[in-house]
Amino acid sequence: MTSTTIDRSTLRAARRVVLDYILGALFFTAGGLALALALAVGVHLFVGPLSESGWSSLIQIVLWFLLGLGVYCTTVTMPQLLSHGRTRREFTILYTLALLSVGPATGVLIVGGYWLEGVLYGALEAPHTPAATGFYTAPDQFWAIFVGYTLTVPVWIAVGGLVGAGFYRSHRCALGVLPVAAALLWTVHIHVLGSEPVSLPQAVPAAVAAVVGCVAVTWLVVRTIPLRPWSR
Amino acid sequence: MTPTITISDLHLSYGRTTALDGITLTVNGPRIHGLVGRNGSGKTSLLSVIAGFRQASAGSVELDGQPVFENATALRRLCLIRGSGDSVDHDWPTNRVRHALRLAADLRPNWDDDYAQALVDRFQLDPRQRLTELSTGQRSAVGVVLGLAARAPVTIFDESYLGMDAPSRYAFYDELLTDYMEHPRTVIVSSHLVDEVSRLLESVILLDHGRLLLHEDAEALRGRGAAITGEHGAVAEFVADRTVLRQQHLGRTTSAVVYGELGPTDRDRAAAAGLDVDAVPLQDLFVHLTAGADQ
Repeated sequence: MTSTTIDRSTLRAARRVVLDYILGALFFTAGGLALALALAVGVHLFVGPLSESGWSSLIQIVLWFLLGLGVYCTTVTMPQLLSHGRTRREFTILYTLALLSVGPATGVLIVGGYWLEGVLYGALEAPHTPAATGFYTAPDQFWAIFVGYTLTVPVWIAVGGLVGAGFYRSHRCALGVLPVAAALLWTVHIHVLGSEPVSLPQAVPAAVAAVVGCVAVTWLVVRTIPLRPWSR
Repeated sequence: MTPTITISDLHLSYGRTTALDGITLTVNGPRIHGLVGRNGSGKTSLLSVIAGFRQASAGSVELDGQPVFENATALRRLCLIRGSGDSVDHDWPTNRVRHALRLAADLRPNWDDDYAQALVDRFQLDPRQRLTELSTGQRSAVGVVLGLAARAPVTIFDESYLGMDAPSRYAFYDELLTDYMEHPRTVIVSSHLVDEVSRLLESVILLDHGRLLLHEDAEALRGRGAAITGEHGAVAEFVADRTVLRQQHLGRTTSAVVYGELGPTDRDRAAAAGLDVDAVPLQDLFVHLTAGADQ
């Protein structure tokens, strides 16, 4: 066994957690965007004039899919890594890297979605206004949208990861982490994407605290987690 | 360097249930060790702790002097296979046999892709099939492929024959032996089918009720018992003061399996009485030793 092969296998493990999860998040976001654009055309043609951005509503559904991605990461990907000779610490480091990378990548795609939608709404001569959010008030505030979702998306995935880890470990543990997960999600929604206007100095600490809190509690759950805890 | 696993006063509890109760054991290589014991004796629990799948409640497991749990260096050298190898079973849509091989190729530092393909052919697995569509035996075969092709210095199979038909089981034993000869390493095979795997084993670790009952060289263990066959009266006289594990009669001929070492004098006496003395199957000794622990 050489150090070169160890490094390669570690890099491949990183690819499986970081790159695959970025692609997974982009896949769900792109799917939501395609649906939003298709619905906008359908509503315009068959229902009536468009009144607000469909994409800003569909993003809420995309966020739930991203939460599911987090659940998948700790219930499917983590056991795969552990069973093939990786440590819980290595998984948590890669998982944190994935969380930090997914936010900006998804943020860019969401901004791109607003831009595309703006072009479509312009062609349909419909008003392009977002559903009420605290961090941005117009779909052309690209920088604010990017920052808002760069902060929000990691929290949703991290909350999913925490819930997944809790359920994987035991039902008792799951009951313990559910209130924590709900509280972290509520915090980020109030301070980043709530109905009241929020500012960057308010949003950043709340989102960072939520992600850090989520990863910290997830680490507490997984640091001694048994593989297949239900089998003996 | 040949790996050495050192287990010291190992305890593992699940709530109020004690699975492992003070196991102290040293497993050296390169050898093939058999881990045997009845249902619930703690075999899977012990292997899970050795491979870092679980943390011990107390005591330690070390690989070449380094603790195993959460030790990246030690865990890279260990491979425990249970069932289909805790692989891509739930990873829909990438849950096909080829995905399981790809996962292991990505994460196992010593993975041998050519050997894995040869094993896939030998066990007649279809790389395109989903793990969820495979029979239990085929899933076990996937686990065997993952375990052998990983070429980990410590390779552990936990009842990897489950659901396999006889030809597949014998293919597994042949492959294990052949690959072990070409790439000597420490192998631990946990099994109920003691007779089937006994020809592979160089040492036997016997667990009962979470405790280590014995850890002995397989040949020495076989020498602890003998099958005495001959005329009924002569056999009865010979075994009169011995522990008889099992007796069978056919006409005037009796075959008795006795526990305890036979010295040269005993063998001469048996020969003089016209009795045949043969090696006893490990399975019989295993049944006797674990039944004894019950009593």
